[in-house]
Amino acid sequence: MHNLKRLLIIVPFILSGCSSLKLAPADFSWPVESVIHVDNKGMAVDDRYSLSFSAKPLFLEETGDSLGFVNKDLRVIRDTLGYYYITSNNFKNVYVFTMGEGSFNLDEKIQISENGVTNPVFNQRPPYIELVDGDKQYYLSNNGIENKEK
Amino acid sequence: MKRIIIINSLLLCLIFSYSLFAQSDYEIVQTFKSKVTAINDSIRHASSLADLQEAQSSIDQLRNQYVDKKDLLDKSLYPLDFNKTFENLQKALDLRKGDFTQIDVLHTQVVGLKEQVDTLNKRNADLMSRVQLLEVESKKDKSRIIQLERSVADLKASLQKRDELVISMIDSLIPPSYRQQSVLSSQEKEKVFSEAQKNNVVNNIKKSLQDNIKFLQVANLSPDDLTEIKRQQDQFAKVWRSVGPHLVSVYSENKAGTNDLKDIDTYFASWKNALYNEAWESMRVTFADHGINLQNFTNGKEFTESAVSFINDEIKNISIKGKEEAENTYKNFADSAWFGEVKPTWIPYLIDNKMITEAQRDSVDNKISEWKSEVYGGAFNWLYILIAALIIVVVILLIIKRKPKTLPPPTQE
Repeated sequence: MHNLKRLLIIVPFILSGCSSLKLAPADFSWPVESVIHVDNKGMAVDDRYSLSFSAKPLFLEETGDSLGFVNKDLRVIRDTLGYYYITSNNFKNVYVFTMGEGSFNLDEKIQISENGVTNPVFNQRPPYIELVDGDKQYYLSNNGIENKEK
Repeated sequence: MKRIIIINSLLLCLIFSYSLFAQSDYEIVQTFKSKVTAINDSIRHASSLADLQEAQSSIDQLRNQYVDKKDLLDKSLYPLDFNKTFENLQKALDLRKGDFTQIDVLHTQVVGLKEQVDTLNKRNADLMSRVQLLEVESKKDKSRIIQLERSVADLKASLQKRDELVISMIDSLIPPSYRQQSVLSSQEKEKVFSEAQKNNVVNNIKKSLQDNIKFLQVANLSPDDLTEIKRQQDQFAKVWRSVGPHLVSVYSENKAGTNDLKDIDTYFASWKNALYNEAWESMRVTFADHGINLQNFTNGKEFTESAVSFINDEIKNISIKGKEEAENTYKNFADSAWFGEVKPTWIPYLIDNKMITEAQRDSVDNKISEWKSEVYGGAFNWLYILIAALIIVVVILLIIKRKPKTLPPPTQE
């Protein structure tokens, strides 16, 4: 019993020593979306946020066409938590990514429309991301559509 | 958990009510940016204060239209923000207003200058005729020379004053803000053209150049005068180089003025040539005043050849002309003209302006030395021979006197 008491005193100290440093709260949101043109090598480069990534796998995933990126624009926005939301004209889905080591890792694929969205735009509406598709609006989080209104 | 769901639902309701007329924030920012660019362009290309007043109302309108989006724009216009963007627009507008105020002041100045130039043009014409008349009279009547010199000085000062006014007029015609633009707008061109026409600027430039050419032709000038004229010419050319191309673009749309501008270029070239030739002509007149008529020359090489050829002829003719006349010609050429006036006054000017080389000057000097020894050479030779003979005689005498007398052989007793 005596030993158990000692252990209970020591354990919190051991645990606190192991935990990583955390800076909170943090806000990663972009005030407005970026409209990024995909170049002929399939790279999407955004000057303002110094962001660049290969968009080829995304178009292949969405359209099944390895050259689907030609002359396309991507709409990209980042939410408060740091998730990246990416979509494009005629996409059926919004892709939610997290940052990996030198890569974007898919966290969630949110289906929006079976026919594909037309002229989609993202707006920052903390804590959500607003997706406007014509006269339709969707409020998205990294978990999916929070609510939907026509 | 229930509380969180309620809060989230309320939040969504709020958002939905706001976004009944949902719009892309990105589009809002882009539209705002393009409107700012359009206003900036309108400020840059404004051709009058009225245009700037329109730009001012556009700025005010834009501010009112987007004040509701200030938060979004503050975040999105990095490194600027909403207020900083409007501050920059206002600064650009105020700066451009300054340009127009300056333009108005300069145009008033041009009108004032025109009146002064007109008065000086009349005065210069009178002085020019007077100088021409006195140049002729002074050749017959030496008492007129002082009068001539005074009139030439008056004319020179008056021409210089008029030129300075014309330069100011050209300078004021195209304000500095116009000169920085590679191309003037049609409104700016029209404004410059009407000002130039109204104040007869192109004709005044032509008149100024013509008078300067005529002045060089009628007056006999010193190297100092020519140096002063050259400085003035450089200043005139510098202003013309900075303003001329703009005037050409202004006049290119009006056929009538194009030939005038071509004339100005031609007059500039003639003025430059006249100044160059004036130095050689003044030198030729200096020699002529001392009775030495050299062949015409218009550059350093020709002058050297002309002087050397004259001296060679003189050397050849010494025996024909006779000693006295040959000496007189030598004195007139060398002592009076070359060493007395040309070498101390004109040669430094010519060397400074790279019109003659030091080697060419030295070759004339050497030739004069040769001529001198030919003219005075005979007398010198006899003198030298006489002195040498005397020295030899004296030396021989000394040797004889100092030679020890040989003793008689001893007698044998």
